[in-house]
Amino acid sequence: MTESKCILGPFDIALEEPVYFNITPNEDKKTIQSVEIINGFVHRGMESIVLRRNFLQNLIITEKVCGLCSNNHPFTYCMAVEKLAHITLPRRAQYLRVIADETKRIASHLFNVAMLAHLLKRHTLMGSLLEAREHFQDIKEQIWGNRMDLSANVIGGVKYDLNPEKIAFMKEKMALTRTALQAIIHIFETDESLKKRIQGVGVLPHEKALSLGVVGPVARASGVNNDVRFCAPYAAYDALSFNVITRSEGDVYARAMVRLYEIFESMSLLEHAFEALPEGEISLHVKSVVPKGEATSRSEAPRGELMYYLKSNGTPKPERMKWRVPSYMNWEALKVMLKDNAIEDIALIFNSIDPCISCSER
Amino acid sequence: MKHLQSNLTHLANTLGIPTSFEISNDALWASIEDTNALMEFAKGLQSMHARVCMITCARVEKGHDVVYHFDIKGVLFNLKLHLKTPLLPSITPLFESANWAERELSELYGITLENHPNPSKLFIDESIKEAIYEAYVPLSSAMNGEVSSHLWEKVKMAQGGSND
Repeated sequence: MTESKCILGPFDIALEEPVYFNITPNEDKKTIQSVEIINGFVHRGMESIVLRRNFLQNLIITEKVCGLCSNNHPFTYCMAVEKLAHITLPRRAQYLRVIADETKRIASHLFNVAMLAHLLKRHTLMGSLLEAREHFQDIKEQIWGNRMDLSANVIGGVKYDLNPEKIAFMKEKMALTRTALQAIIHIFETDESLKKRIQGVGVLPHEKALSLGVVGPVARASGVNNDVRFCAPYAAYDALSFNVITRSEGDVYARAMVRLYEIFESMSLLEHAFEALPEGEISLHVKSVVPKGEATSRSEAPRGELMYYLKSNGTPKPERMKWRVPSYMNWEALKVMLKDNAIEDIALIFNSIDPCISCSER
Repeated sequence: MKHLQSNLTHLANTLGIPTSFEISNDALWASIEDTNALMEFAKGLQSMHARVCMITCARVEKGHDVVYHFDIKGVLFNLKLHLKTPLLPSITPLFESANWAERELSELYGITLENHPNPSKLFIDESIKEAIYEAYVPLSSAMNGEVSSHLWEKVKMAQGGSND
C-alpha cells in the first residue's frame, strides 16, 4: 500500500480560533518587524441572519455571539430595543442587569489572567486564578443555572431574581474570591522574575491607544479611560460608585494589573448593588412589535465597549442591526504592540488583548 | 449633550454645511448631503478629539445609507450620509479607529474607498470579488417557496430582462 499525504492548510479552519498572522522578523531573526492579520474563516454572517428573525428571536441569537461576554450582547441589544420602544425598566431590573454583568466580568478577567500565568508556565499561579474563578462559576451555576450563558436579559427587564439566601450565597463565594485575589495580586506585585518577564513587553503608547480607538482594559492600561460605565452610564451604573482602574505603562503587565484590580471594583459594585437593590418588578410585559425608528446603545463588556445599532421599520423584524465588538477595535493595536518585541513574547502579547475571534467574526 | 449639540451646530455653520443636530434615544443625530461635507466635517470632529466607534452601512432602494458613530467625550454622535454611487472617501487618514469599519463596508457592499491606507479585504479572501453576497443567491433562498417568484423577478431585472 502506497503512502498518501493529506495536506491540511495553508489554513486550518478546524482550529478553535482560526485567525492567522503573517509575521515578518527583523534582520536579527529574533524580533518582529511587522505583522499581518488574516481572518474571516469562521465569519457567520450573523448581521444578515438577524434580519430574518423577529426582535424576540434575535435576543437568543445575540447571546450566542460569544461565550465570555455572552451577557453583554443581549444586554446591549435589549437596551437598543427598549430605547426604540420607549420602555423604561423597573429599577430592580436595572440593578439585576448590573449584577449579572459584573459577575461575568469577574469570571472573564480571571480567565484571561489565568491564561497569562499558563503562558508564563506558572502553573501554580494559574491554578490559583482558576480556583478563584471557580467560585464565580459556582455563583453562575447556582443563580442562573448555567456556567457560561446566563440568559439573564429579556426585552423589558430580566428573567431571574435574587432573594436574601441567594445574595448570602454570592457574598460567601465573593469573600473566598477576594482572599484568593489578594494573594494573587501580592505575587504579581512582589515576584520580581514574573514582573521582569512581562514589564515593558508589548507596549501600546498612550497616543496610539487614543488614535486607534482601543477599548477596555487595553485602553485603560495605556492611560485611556473610555469605560462606558463611567463615561456614559447605563442601567443602574449612574447610582453606583466605582473607581476606573488606569495605568500608564501600556504593557502586558499593566493590562493584567488593570484586570486584577477591576475585579475588586466589580465586587464592590456587586456589594453596593445588593445593598441598594430596590423592591419591585423584574420585567415589563412588552409587545413584540417595535415602532419605526433607530437607536444606538453601548455597554462595557469585559473586553471593552460593545455597541449596537438598530433600525426598525415597524415590522416584527429589524431593517438593519449592527454591532461592533470590543476585540474589533483592539486587533490593529497588536501591530504596534508586537513591533520590535521578541518573537518568544508573541503569545504573551496576543493574550494581553484578550482577543475574541467568535465576537470579531460574528 | 446640549453643549455638544451647540458646538456641532457652530462647526456646521462655520463650514457652511446645511444640517441640524437632534437629540434622540440618548444620542445626537445629524444627516449630511454629500461626501465633500463628510470630509470637511470629519476634520472638525478630529479637532474635537472624536473617536470612531462603528460605521453602519445598509443597501437601500437607491444606493447605500451609511451611519458614522462617533464618540465625543462620552456622547454618541451618529452622522448619516446617503450614497448614490458606491464611492466613499476614507476617513481613516483622519481617524485610525475607522480602519476596520471602512474595510468591512467596502468588501460587503462593494463600496470603493478613496485614500484608505490599507484597502485590503478584512474577512473575505482576496480572490473573491467585493459585494459577493449581494451578487450570488444562496440555495436556501433559491429554494424558498415563499419568496421564489419575487426573487427570480429580481434576478431577471438585474440581468436586464423583462419582468413578464
